[in-house]
Amino acid sequence: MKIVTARRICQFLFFALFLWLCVVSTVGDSFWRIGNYPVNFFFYLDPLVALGTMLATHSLYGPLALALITIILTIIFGRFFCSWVCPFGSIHHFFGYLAKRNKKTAEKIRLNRYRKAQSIKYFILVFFLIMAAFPSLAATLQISLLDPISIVTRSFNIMLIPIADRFFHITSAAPRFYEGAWLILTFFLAAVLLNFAIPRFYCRFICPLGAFFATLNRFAVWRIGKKSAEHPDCRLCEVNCEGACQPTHDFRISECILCFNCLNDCKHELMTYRRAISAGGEITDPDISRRGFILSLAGGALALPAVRLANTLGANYYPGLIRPPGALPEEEFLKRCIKCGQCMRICPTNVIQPASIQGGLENLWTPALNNRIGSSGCQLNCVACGQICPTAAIRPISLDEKLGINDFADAGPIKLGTAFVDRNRCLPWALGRPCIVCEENCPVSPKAIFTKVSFETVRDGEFTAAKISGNTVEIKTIMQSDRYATGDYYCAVGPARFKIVANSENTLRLEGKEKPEQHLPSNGKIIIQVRLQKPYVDPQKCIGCGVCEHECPVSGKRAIRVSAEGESRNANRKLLLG
Amino acid sequence: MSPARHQPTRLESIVAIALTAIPVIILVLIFTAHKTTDISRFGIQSSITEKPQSWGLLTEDKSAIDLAGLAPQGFKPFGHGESYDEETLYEKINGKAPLYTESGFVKLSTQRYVSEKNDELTFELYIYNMGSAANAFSVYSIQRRAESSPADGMPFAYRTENALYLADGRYYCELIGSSDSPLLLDAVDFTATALIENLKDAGPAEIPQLAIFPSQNLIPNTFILYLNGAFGFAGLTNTFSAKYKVNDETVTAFISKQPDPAAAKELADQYAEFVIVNGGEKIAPSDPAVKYIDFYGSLEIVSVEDSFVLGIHQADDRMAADIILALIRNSLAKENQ
Amino acid sequence: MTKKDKIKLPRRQFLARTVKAGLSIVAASALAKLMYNSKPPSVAADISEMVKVPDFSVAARASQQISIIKGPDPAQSSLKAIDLLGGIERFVKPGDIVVIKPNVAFASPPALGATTNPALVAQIVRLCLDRGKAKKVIVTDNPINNPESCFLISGIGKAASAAGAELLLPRPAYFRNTSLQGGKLINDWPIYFEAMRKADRLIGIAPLKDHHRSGASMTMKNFYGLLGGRRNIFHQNINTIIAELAMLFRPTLVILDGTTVMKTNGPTGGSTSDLKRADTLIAGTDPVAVDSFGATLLDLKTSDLPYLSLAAEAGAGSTDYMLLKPIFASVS
Repeated sequence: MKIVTARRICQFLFFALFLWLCVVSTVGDSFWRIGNYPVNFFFYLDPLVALGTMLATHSLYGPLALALITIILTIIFGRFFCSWVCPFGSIHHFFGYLAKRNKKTAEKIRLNRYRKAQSIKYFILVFFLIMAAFPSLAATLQISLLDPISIVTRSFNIMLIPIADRFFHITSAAPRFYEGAWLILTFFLAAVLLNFAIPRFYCRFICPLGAFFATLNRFAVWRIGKKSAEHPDCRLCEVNCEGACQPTHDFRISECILCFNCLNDCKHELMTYRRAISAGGEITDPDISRRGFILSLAGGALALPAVRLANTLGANYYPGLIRPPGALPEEEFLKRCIKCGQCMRICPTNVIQPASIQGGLENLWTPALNNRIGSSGCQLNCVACGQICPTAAIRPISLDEKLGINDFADAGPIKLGTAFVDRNRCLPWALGRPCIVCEENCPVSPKAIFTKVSFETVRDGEFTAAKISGNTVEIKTIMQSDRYATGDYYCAVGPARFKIVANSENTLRLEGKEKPEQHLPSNGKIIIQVRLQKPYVDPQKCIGCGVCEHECPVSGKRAIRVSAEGESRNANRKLLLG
Repeated sequence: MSPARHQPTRLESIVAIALTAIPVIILVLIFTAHKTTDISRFGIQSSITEKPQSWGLLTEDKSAIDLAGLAPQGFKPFGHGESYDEETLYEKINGKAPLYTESGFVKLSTQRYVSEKNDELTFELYIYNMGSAANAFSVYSIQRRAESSPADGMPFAYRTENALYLADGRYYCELIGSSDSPLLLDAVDFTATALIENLKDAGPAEIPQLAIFPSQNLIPNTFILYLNGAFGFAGLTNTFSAKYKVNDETVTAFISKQPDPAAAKELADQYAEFVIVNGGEKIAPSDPAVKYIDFYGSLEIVSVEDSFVLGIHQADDRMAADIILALIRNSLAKENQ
Repeated sequence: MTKKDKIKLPRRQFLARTVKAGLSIVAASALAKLMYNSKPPSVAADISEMVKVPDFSVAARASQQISIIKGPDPAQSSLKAIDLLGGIERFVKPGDIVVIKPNVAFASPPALGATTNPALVAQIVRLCLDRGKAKKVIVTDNPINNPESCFLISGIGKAASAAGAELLLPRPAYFRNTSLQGGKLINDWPIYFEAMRKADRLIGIAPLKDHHRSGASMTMKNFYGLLGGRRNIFHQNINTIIAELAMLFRPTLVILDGTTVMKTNGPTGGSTSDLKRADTLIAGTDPVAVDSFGATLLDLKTSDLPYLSLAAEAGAGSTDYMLLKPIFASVS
């Protein structure tokens, strides 16, 4: 078997594995539902996730230690990950292949030549790592904006699979929605289409993970190289060179991604993978100038404080940002969230959405709840998001901790925020219509929403009674038939109040123990009132789950909305004393 | 000229095949793991209301009795009623919990009451649902304080300076005042009476087994039912004891009903053996069929009558002990006729 | 460099490279091991960090280890008891932060004797503040019933605050895990660490009670109230846990209040008829010795309470209180 065949099979199998893990990240009963193996397999292998979180939090979270395997293997063998494992890399490889297919050999060689711009990925690496390594309080983990595993997982989970679901119902019976997916598509499409300009464009010029591997493989025990320096100048080795690493000249080991195409294509059996360096010479160092390095360092060092000047971690926090239950306090959260979208993928109610940059640049693609999307707010008995988060930015809390029972009874339930009734939009408060949908759906016990009854006179609700016989009141003006017969309307006759059972155009049939006639005032006036139950939120009981917001019939800007005040995870957003 | 294709070397082939195996193995492992799955850690339970007692101590007491309504005149409920089951009982009474949980304990409901005029005067009502009248009687009798005075009107009840204890059918109840103030004791009485009226599913209050004890010479209110072992010996389950007075001597007699005479004989032998092993010395019996054991100066008598094990526990006076033993044996013999 | 040179060096180059590769692997692995944290981040203080309980005991002084005072009023008796041991100045230095751990386990009125006498607690608080010139006195416990009710109904909350102490009620964040070296039961178990985190001295004040499970509840059992978690599980091995408590918590001073002893139906009692006056108060630096003497007031022998010998064997104290030359005195 040729080594390139092995590579192709591995690319295929790892990509299939990746797709499987994406599809299977569902909670449910069907065959494709989450199992007891890590769906975050690729994230655990990704050293940038481990390194980034380690720099930001000064601790290496358990499962991320698997990245050590990747690092050790890279140190020994070279950048195998890029062309054998990485699913994003496989996509670029494929599209690059498509792009080159009908081109002439000379053209292919030209496309695969080394370009100085390949150093950009190192600057990107430095730029983001310095932001992660910033002294404790101010660190932020943004490297996953460009990390290949994050990009490919986001693109499939939050964009491609949901699109496919609309037509094929693969992972979800109901279509799932994700805000801002257009931006994810743009990134993805840009990366993929750029392969038509230069093959493996993203891998060569942008990928910070590749840059990281490039710093590791300088001491590789085995490396690609020429057996001899004297050979015809056919340059067949460069026709399909994926890394653009100049196997013909001084071999740039930092760019070699072990695709072995050179070995496969050489007609003179000149290329080899051996311990000695290439006979044509080797360049181990990435081609970065000191000036470039310092500029990217300074850029990163300035970018973070510049972003933080908006004080979005302090008093200027964005109250519309509701994080999933179990999320760390915001500062710590931003040090761990790799914007992978797994929490959004697994949320059974589809309420977790990729956030926009509203409220801070760092919020892009981090999880935020949008109670208007999905099947209900945050479901009470679910802790799926914390269980799947690869970096514990959302802690893997137990149901007991979320609900504040048993061992956590003293701490109380986790609050995501507090619901606020918008009295200017609420049906009973502002529009004189009965409604208690929010109170009915509040899932906690005792309910966090309670109601107080009040009676309000309806518009044009004052009438003069022409005749009262028994329980029927006749009036002169015309009413809409059955308008007041819903059971919510009452007729005030003097000091007494009667429920309206039926009404025709000019009569009202009342119900009640008293006799209406007795209470009729001298001027014969009766008033039709609507019985309203006005909702109030008890901030101590409210956990901010958003079910009320989801169910509120005022479907645009909801009449009850959850905002971040009172969320348990951030002490500076406390609403109540004690 | 068509270029020659690359021919893999042996080494290359072996390495290629080996490397391909890696993702294959991973996929196989994953598919195997996929079959068995436990996603309970993700939550999504059907209903949390299936476990009402896990909401903590201060749950609303959902028993049929309105404890707040039992507040006497001038008193009002203080705090919420509390409810405890077998698992949480220790959170209220700590080390005493095993006494109840090993005697058929079902549920404890408590409620505190405070005087409206003086908030230092409080009393707490404990209602232990022990599942059966025998169980309730057992925990009632075992804990009976020596200095106690009988409470009239209730078959199994006694008072101490600051409290009232009673057993009503399957319920064992304690009403404990914070001091011995007469005002408090009156309030306790009121609540106790109201409580008994409200314990509708208490069941029969009589303990029929007590009738086997002859009433002659019996000191009233000295019955004790040991469910899980008596006098330090675990085998003496379901054992009743009572105190008798002969002249000026107090004699403690005990009776334990066994399934059949053979079991009774075996238990009697085992108990006698237990006393001897722990320092007793066999002495000459008045009746050869009966075991007499001197235990550090006091007398332990163990005997069998049909399916009953009977005996005298730690008697000081042999003659008095013999008299009571005979009395009881006669009574048992009559039972069996 | 000529091409020939490049080819001549492979072996040396290769070795150097391999060594560097090996070193990088070692460095990466070491860094990973150093930072490795299998537990997810916790919101409060990192509970996975284990703490060590400080030793609060003071140096022994011959013939001033244990004092036994006969008298009707525990507050007065305690003053005499401490004076005979060298005065509060031996135990509390000016500027110290003193933690007093009474028995506030149950929401039980003081007359029932299930909790420490509030007047006694208040007396010790005042003694530490006035004569001992302590900077702060904290009164705390992790009760069995609800903490607010316990401190309220036992009267200890009011009495301690009135005397000038700071009350500390337990919260989940106040508990940290610890392990007793050589312990079987207290192994990575939460304790009420906030109670002693900043303390210089630890004083335990316990009532003398019968206990249904352990035989008696005195100064050693009193420290059960510093355990957290589902500590009831230790009742299955009650003697070992009490002995381990004595090894884990080394107090500055313990006071055993036997003025009114709960003779029967402990630990909750319930009836004043469960109580008997013994009018004895014991103070000492050795909880094992103090409890061994206290057992006699319950008509129990040392052998009736296996935890006494277990603790003595582990080196937490001595059951032979007479060896410590107890000082007997009385107060009218």
